[in-house]
Amino acid sequence: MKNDRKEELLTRWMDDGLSDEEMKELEPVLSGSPELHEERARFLLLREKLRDSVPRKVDPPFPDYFNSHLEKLVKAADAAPMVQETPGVFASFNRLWLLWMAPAVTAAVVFAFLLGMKSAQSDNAASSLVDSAAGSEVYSPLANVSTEVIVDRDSDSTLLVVEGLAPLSDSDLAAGGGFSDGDHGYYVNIRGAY
Amino acid sequence: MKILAFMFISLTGLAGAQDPGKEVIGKVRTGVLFGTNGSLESLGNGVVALSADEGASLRKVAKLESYKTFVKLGSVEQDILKGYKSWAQPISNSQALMLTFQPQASIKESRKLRLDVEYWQKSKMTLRWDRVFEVGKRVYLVGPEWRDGNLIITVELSSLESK
Repeated sequence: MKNDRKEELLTRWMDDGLSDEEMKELEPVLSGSPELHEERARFLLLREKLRDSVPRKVDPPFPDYFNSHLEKLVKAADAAPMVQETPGVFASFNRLWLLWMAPAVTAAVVFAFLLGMKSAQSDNAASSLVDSAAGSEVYSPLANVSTEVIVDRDSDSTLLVVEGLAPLSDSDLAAGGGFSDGDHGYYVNIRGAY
Repeated sequence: MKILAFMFISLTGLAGAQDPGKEVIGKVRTGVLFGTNGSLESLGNGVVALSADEGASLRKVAKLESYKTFVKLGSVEQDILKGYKSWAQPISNSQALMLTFQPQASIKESRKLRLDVEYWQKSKMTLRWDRVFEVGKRVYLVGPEWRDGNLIITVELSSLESK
């Protein structure tokens, strides 16, 4: 059997995509390399674990958290022991594995890049979750800031008490100039900003 | 030349019309309150006293319980644009205290919207608050001290476009 044909059949075999005839065609290869069955079982187990651990859709509360989480995963992957290469059919199987993983790795890199772009709004990587209560999450890049969320049932309102903010001076709010309601304000395109 | 100018205006108008991010999905009112025991005269014109009920509610917070008077220094109502981050400047002539808000998800309920609100103090992002806002329910951020009192920033989802 030619290598290209063998690789094609092995790839589809991993995903249970072979017809009976194709299975018969591949059987000599499988019987000659029984370790492929073991590898396939490990692959299926890994696939199931990935499906269980990665939610289909997630709405990240904040990119900072995900960036740190991704960094942790990358470090753990780097620390994992390397798998030794095996010769013959097994080596071609590993090449198939790499081909299969390439789109997944590309998707992960793109995902990390997008998260990095979004988190560029924060100029301090040390931002941290300072409070999480009443269906809301509060982050501050300042280490000395702490918060408390208070839900007032009587007035049906929510108060976020922030401690550690620097006081403002008279000149900051242009005291004496008068205050009034207005329709001032502006906006920026999110896509342009990040 | 006139033809070129007409084409330019037509094309720019077309580009603006095609931007789905500029769709208005609601309105947010941001404001700044001040709790004080001092004189209100030095605050100039335009301050508005808060209702007794709202003052009593604020006084439940330990940090504010000693203040006898609460006034509104300024506020602004702005559109929430679907794909844009909006900057709010509740006190018109001061950039020391600003807020940003941007919608985080599609409207799940008719009167609720998740907003990512940032509080900027003196050009520095100081706090980011991600929460679901409900139309008509004001949210208070008890902020920095100023003069002899305390500033309170308010954010209220004033309306939401029906889908």
